[in-house]
Amino acid sequence: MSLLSTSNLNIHIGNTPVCHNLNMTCEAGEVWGILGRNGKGKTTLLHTLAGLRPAVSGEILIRENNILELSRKKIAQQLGVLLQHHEDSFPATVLETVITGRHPHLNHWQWESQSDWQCAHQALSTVQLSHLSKRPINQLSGGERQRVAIATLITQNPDIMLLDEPNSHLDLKYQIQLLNQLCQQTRTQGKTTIMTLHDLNLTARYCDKLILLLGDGETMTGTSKELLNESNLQKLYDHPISRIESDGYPVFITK
Amino acid sequence: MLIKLIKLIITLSLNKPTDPSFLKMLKPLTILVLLIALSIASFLFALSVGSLPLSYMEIFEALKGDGSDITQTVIFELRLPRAYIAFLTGGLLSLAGMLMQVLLRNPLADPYILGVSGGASVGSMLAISAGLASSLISVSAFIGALISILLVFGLAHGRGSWNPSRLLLTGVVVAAGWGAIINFILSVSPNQSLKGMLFWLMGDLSYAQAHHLSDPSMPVILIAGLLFSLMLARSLNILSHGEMQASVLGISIKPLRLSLFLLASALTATAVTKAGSIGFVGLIVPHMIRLLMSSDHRWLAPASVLAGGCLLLLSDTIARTIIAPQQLPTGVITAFIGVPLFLYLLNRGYRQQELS
Repeated sequence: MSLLSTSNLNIHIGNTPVCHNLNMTCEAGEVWGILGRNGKGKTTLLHTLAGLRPAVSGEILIRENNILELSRKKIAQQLGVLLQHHEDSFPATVLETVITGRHPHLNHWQWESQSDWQCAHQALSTVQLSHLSKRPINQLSGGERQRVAIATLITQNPDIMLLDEPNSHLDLKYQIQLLNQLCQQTRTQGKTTIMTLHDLNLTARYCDKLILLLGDGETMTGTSKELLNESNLQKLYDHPISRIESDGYPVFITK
Repeated sequence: MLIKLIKLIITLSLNKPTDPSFLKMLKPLTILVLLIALSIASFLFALSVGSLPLSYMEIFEALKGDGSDITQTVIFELRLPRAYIAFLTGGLLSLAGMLMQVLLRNPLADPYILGVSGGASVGSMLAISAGLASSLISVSAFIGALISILLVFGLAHGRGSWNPSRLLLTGVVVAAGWGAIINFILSVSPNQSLKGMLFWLMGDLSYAQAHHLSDPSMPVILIAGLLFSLMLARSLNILSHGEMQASVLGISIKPLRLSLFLLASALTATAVTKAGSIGFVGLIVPHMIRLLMSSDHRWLAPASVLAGGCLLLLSDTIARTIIAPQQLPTGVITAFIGVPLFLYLLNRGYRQQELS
């Protein structure tokens, strides 16, 4: 049974189509990447897959259930999103922010249990922020705030993870470390991850499959091995890119 | 409140004291207990001071049903109803302010800024200038508040886009409109009704009477509002991180938004109807608690109710005694106490942040 799939999905931003009759099936253990130029609808596609905005037509299925028939809470128990922008209106602490990830797993009157707090602490140590757990959230740097958001997602522990530019604000060490962590979780725990990325080298390294958003509703889906060739990339980015091999990984260089 | 405390006591008695979740609760719990103690002290203070000073012994005797007739009258006809209305009004306004601030994710949001009290004021002033009885003034104020709510909500909702800044702006502009109407009514009103109107505009609790003690509407709405806020408290914590993030974490935004707006409006309308236009409590009390205690709405909601009640009760007690026999409008004293206290806490909060 696939974790997340779409059939004949049509998405528009205003009158501009993002994808036309997109069919994809994300199986357990797979990491997917969404590539495309600025404004071609990567985030829009991700939000639509999460049920945060309506599609024009077509279906999105979470474990064979139509997303339109699931409550937000039911969706949140299975699907988590790392958003691109973080909003902090009132000064909660880092730990208070991370524990919100348990919300979909709790009832109205329920307080977080010992094990919920453990989840949060564990997630904080995964992103190496345990020492800042009591710090007000609005005093963090951009990279630290991004890691708090990742920790919140880990605390939520969904089977389907949608990551919108997970690398933004992160330094090189955390980019590799956190992508390693999330992709390893995906593979060993039978989850599925879909992320938007701008870095082709990381895409080649982490993504099993890709969706290329070429603009005007034209899309390509397939394995990254098939899709990441020079002609596709030239078409995708409207700029010549050459591919070379190094240490068994493909490396992409702009010309 | 009660359910909350009972639950807490159960949780605490089940957990060992070394349990980290117990330690997390220790500070807010202490502050909550202190606030309860402060509320009781405020009530005793309010009952004891005035033109006929009463000792605490006399108060206890009167409350038990003993004591002289005059003590009985002073407490049950004058001071207790007034203290009771003041405390509940403070609680209602603080809770409404807290809800509005999360709803709009704006620290400046407050029922008054959204024009609810403006509508109520116009309603009551029309009733006063028509020479209606005080019960009808309340009804008229409530209708005014409702009209204002519907106006702001309807206009801000417009064609679907319903974002916080648009709602806030609509509220501010509608409030300005009410302000103009208030000035218009004031300038054309005959002198004899002017003083009553001005007092109402500045907040006035002096009309509180014994029959208000048996009127269930205020406590019922306050307690229902508090329970509802506690039920939504975790959702409110998440809503502070934006509607998108709240959606992602399993909250249905539209019903939450609507219920927050209606609840905050009902709380404000109830408060304004009984006590006139007392600004400021709803704005500063939730922030004070955030700075002192926690941004977790499960603590913030009950603490705001208690602190708001105390602030208004103490302000009103001072307002009626400080230059007795003359009475001051309560809103003046709220501002005198609240402004410096708030500025001090804000300043202290910032300094702590810089140090950490």
